[in-house]
Amino acid sequence: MQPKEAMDWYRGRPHHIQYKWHEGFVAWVFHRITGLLLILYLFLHEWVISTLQNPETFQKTMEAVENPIFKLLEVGLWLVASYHAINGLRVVLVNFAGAAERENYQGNVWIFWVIFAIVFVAGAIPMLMHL
Amino acid sequence: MMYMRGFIDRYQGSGKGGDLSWLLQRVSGVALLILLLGHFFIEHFAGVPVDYQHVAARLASPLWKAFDLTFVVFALYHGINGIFMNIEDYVHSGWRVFWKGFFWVVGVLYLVLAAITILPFKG
Repeated sequence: MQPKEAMDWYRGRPHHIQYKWHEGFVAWVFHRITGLLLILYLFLHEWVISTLQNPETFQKTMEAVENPIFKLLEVGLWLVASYHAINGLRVVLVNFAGAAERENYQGNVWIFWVIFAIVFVAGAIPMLMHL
Repeated sequence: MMYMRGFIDRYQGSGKGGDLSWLLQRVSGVALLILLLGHFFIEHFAGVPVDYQHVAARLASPLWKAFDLTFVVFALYHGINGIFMNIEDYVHSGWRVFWKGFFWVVGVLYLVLAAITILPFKG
């Protein structure tokens, strides 16, 4: 039930719904963004790997991806994929193991973001070292 | 004709359908995590370079054919179902049916492309 002042403030103004920022919402937004990026990556990857139908085209493909720009993009891919995977695990825990129940909720998003950061850095370091 | 209502509801994005997709997103997501680790391991950490010769040798085996195709099926399902979720959330006009149909076709075409690429390798 909104307090009277809030109702008065809205009177005559265009209605504008604003969701209050909280970490669960931010986690969801990034899950959606990374998901869309990943399916676009899948489409690209499948198209590239389809050059496997012919030894010469595949070799040209493998030579083309030796370019350092792709090595850098792969780190970006790892960032996107590891975020989506770790947050996805959190979603499964919330859906099936009650991770968002009031007693358990406190900080589940932050915990997973820390895990994500560790996983990402752990994978990125060897990738960057082999650039 | 009431059974048609359920079918149409699904495509019009109502609350009457989608519980199976909800569950399959979770199941395919976890499955993809495992399959991805396997895929990444065999491509990049098995001690062989990624060239035609080695990939062709791996894909000659029916076991690896099955693994790769399973991976593709789960990935296409999970990804395109995710696109469907976005379409349902952001497209409310009749275009929703068009875009869902479009990505259905895209998914089938990519599945066919994967099969064409993976299946022909012989031992």
